[in-house]
Amino acid sequence: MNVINEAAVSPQKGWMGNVDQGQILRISGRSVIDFNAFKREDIREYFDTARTRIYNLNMYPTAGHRLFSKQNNPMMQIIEDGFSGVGLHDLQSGHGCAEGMLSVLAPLEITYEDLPDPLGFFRNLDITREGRIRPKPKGPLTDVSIDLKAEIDLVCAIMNCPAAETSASGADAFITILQP
Amino acid sequence: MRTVKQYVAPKNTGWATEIQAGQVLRLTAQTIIDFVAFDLYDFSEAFDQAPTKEASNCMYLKRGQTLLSRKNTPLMTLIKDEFEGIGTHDLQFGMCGRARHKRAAEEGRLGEYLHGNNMDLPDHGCAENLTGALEPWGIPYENIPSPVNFFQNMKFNQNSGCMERTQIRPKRPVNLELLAERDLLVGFSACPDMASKTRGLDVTATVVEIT
Repeated sequence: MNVINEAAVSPQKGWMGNVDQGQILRISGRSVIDFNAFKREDIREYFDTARTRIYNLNMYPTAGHRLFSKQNNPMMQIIEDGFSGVGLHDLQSGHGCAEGMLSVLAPLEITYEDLPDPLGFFRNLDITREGRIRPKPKGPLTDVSIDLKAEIDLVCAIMNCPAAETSASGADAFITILQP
Repeated sequence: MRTVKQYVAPKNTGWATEIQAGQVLRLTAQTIIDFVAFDLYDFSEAFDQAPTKEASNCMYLKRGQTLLSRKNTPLMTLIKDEFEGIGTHDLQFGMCGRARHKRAAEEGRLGEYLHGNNMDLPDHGCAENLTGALEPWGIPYENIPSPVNFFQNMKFNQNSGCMERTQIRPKRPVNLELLAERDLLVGFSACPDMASKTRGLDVTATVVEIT
């Protein structure tokens, strides 16, 4: 696979970039990473947590699951999940660093009202049988990766957002875009 | 208590109205209601599932909990819940609708989603009902948040995270009461509720003033 693009993302910093249909976005790190994605040709179509939960009929995104848009279309598929068996990615919480994500997305002129809820990679949660949600800081001890294959042309964005209560490290995150 | 206004939403239709801070919205139903709320003067202050769950640390909406906006502004508080003890209100799902039903049918997953593979699907659902109801206020589909799904009971597996719809609904119409924490625009859809045995019923909405 050819590396199309690489970036290191410091804590409290973000990244935004294009991922073309068929390319793989690899996100590596060990702190909480908030993720959003938009259809490139019409950013009013965006990654949506509720549709993603319902189409996968699952609360914890992992390998094999697809990310869906508000308009009910598939956007990406998770093809590798290095956090599997260590912890769970989060489809329940809001943005840990909303202001930061808004500045990352500034070129798209995304306002607060247009900022969709994120997928929180590496933010481990515990949900009890009664439905109680408990943050359970349990980041990976070493860098792990999650690979997402784009099903359409996308603009993707992350915030390396080590929220105080869940931050294991405040370490850099790494973005790699691969062309199979 | 004085009734300010009342509306009966027929099955698989929507309604929206403005209500004032301190007024109470009573919803009387035994079917799923997809419900959203906005600050009346700033529609960017829209109900948001994620902050609501973060504040309550709970994946269901329960009595005493407050619907929050994306910016953590309190919008409404659930002050009465006659479904309590029977089932739970959902903060996981989005809205049913034409696009969702079409995809489910194409994927051969209607049974998994809706408890039945052979059914006549309506040509619209909550997505279209809420879009239509909120259209007079100029709110497009993409700015309608994922709703509170009242009476949408579901089970989940704590370990796998798998979610399963249930057919648990109130056996007779019961009341929910939501206190407006500020002046609001509220909207809802009387869901066609294709997963239930009834396949949708009317919803009565009453705005009351505590005198």
